[in-house]
Amino acid sequence: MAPRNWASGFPSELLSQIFELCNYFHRARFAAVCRPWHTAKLQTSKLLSTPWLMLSLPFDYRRWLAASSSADLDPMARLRLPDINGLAAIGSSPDGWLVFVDMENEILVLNPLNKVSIQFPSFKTYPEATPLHIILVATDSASDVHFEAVRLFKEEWFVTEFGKDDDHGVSRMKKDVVVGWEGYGGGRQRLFLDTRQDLSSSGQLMT
Amino acid sequence: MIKLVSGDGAEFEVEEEVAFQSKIIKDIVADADDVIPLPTVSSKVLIQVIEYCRKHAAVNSFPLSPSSSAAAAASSSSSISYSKPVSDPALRAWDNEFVKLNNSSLFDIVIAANYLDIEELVDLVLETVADRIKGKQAQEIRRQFNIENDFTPEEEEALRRENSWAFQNN
Repeated sequence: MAPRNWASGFPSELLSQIFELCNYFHRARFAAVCRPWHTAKLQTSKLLSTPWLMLSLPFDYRRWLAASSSADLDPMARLRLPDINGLAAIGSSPDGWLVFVDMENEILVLNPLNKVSIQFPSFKTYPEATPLHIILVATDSASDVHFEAVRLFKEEWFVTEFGKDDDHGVSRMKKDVVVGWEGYGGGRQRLFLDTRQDLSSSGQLMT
Repeated sequence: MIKLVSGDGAEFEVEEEVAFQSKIIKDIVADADDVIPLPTVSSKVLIQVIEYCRKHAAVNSFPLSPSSSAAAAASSSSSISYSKPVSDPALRAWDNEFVKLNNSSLFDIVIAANYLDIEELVDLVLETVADRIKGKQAQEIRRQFNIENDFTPEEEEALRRENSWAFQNN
């Protein structure tokens, strides 16, 4: 049987579909296979549907991450985080941002791949803030992120009193929250935390 | 009955509901006749595609097998939709057996399914291919799928630098 041409002989829209089924790690390797496969990466518009999962490994104080769906935890997909001592992870967005909160309830987002981190404007500067939403409007480029509207919470959503056996690096929230990410037009996207969402429909709550 | 003619001239008579798993055939039949030449599809591939369509047509007309229907009734609270046949575990298992093929066969089937617009079959094969890629380094993927590395050494090095986190063996 003649070998089939999976590169230039394969429809690019199907390559993009395969690409979209892969997680971060497999996507990077996929794009390194050949030029047509690399092009599939550039053509895709679909964000990852599987947010980061935060794992706490007993043999190392620092944290690891897995890009994976909870149903199909792939042990290959692990990534060491930069120093996040004193921060509690509260969620992740499907395109790879992690959301942390510090002891003052200030929000920080971190991209674990390129190590870009962004401190949210303090919620104290938004007197009209409501507890329901945190909205980040950002450009698509991680290096050119700006905030347009931030509505932050005044209520204390996060458990900040840690017991001695509690794990400080992993989320502890008083309420169930969904972290989601959606397109906003013009290449912009917004990140949101929401208590009203159906928990099964978007970003997965980390515990 | 609808007659499908493969590229190598073999004729296959199939029931409408089987053939109509392909949206393209459904459209063609709506405004033309019942003999449909498929010049780009070989008889070997057409036999496999028809086998898939037969199975899915049968399940689609009776969306739930009695056992899974009872299980669904027992476990589901309300609005969960079972309209998608892949949510039938028995069909899912059948699909998984169906795609236990070498990469060349999968290639032919997905090209045919894409041409015939059989969305579920396209998705099934692409998911299978994605599973075969997962956990492999670029070099292994090239070997498995017979793909030539057409990057220059400089480009390859750049990709590797950009994504060093993904190329570590961990």
